[in-house]
Amino acid sequence: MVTARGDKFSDKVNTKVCREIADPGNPFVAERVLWHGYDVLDLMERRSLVEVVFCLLKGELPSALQARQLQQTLILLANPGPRHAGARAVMNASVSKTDPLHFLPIGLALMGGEQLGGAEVRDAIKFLRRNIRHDPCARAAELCEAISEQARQEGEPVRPAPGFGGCFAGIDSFARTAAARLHKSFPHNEALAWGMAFVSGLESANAGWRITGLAAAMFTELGLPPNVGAGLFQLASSPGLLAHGIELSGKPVTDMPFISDSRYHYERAESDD
Amino acid sequence: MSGLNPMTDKASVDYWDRRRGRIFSRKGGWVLGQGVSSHGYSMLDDLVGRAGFFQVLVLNVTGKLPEKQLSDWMESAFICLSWPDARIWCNQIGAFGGDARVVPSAAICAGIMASDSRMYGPGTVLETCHFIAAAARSLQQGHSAAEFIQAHARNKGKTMLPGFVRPIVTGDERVTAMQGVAKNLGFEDGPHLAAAYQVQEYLIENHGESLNLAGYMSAFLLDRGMTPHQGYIIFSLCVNGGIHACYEESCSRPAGSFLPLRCDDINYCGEKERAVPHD
Repeated sequence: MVTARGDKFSDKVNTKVCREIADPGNPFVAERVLWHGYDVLDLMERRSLVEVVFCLLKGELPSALQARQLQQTLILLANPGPRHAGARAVMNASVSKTDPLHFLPIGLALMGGEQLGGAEVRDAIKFLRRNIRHDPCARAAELCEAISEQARQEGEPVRPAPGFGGCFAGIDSFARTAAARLHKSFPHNEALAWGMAFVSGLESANAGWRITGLAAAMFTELGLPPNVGAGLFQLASSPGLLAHGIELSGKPVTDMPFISDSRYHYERAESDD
Repeated sequence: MSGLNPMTDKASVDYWDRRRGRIFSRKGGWVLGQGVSSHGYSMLDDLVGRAGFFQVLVLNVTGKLPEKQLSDWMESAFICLSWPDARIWCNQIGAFGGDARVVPSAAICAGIMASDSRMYGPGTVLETCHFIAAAARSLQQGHSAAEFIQAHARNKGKTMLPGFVRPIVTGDERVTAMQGVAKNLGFEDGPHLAAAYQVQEYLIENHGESLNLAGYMSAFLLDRGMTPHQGYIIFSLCVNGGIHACYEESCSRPAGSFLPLRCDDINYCGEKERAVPHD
């Protein structure tokens, strides 16, 4: 038997983020718009986009140091590059004549995964939050020890923690260099410093920073919760995704590889027999 | 890292190099000018006109071509999950898409993504399958339904019952409908459905909750040998019919007219107005 639960639903949407003050002549039209109490037009004239993004997500404008850290992080993440699944998806769509309005939704969906995507950033922030009070070198040793012998035998990529591990057959050199530069710029960033010490203990396992771990460290320091960090990572990638898509827009379909039959290998599964 | 097989060892650059510019597929594919296959079946000779859409969907995912009855059962399950009511969250997103005049694929994909939810829709299938599989194992080991729920269903002080709770209402008329479909198609209950019914019996008595459609479907699919992940993949689009309907309707009405809001329909509960500080 189906019975209504009688849940009490809210009569209105409640929000702390945005207040729209109605035009006296039309209640459906806003005359003024405030975000977290700030007039949007004043923000537009006096603050940077990065500061406003921080304000929208945190409710307060950032300090100068926080703004610089977020600015540099968002620049670092602004293009995942044409080898990332998200950008490759957009390029595939573009060259196959998909409506460019779909480029970002397609790319952002693929920027949400556990492999170099938002889900990995989310999990890395959780990891950092749980571990930042522990000794990073000891933690690295424990996690390397825990990597199963079977995984080693099967040559599985080393992933001692979300956001940290191997990259193809080695360490992500670019992420390592970027981390070092950020650490030099922000030596008092506690999460980043913890991560630097942590990766020093991973090198013997051929593991290090992944770009997701670096993003997570920066977002952790800024007090962004795991799901906010995951979404911001996706958002940050938008300019690069769009750029790679637009670059191929209008180009012939032959401008991207199409795998020939000779390089398409059918590995007949047992269940087919 | 030496001594490992370069063909399978992902710690070797050789492994990655072997995959550059090549696709390895266990599914099949298109051989230009010759034909297209799925798991050994010729799509055009063996499947088109002979097998149902859902049979081929299951084949594509699992590698096994199921009997037609399963395809018919799935078609009915998709119908049960696709109600043309724009109050349902994923459908409402489809309606907003039509209202905003986005193209159908964008609106429907947005609705589908929304249905990957922990509360309803295909997003619940994976967790529900694991829960019911655990229930079946526990009951087989001689534990009671009450003991299983005590041991497995607690999370942060809340009772978590994937497959047994439904938003808005208690009870699920779709389960009754699908039980009828299964009976007419000649399916018998297997150990997972039996376990689900045992858990349901306890929950009706003690919590007023019963098996929902996701729970019923998950148990049914586990009884047919499907893995939780395969079930999650196959049902990922299951709400699409309702989204299609709500998109089409809002598209056919004036733009912006679906649930319009006045400014004061939003209850602002944040900071009072304040001046933007100078740098």
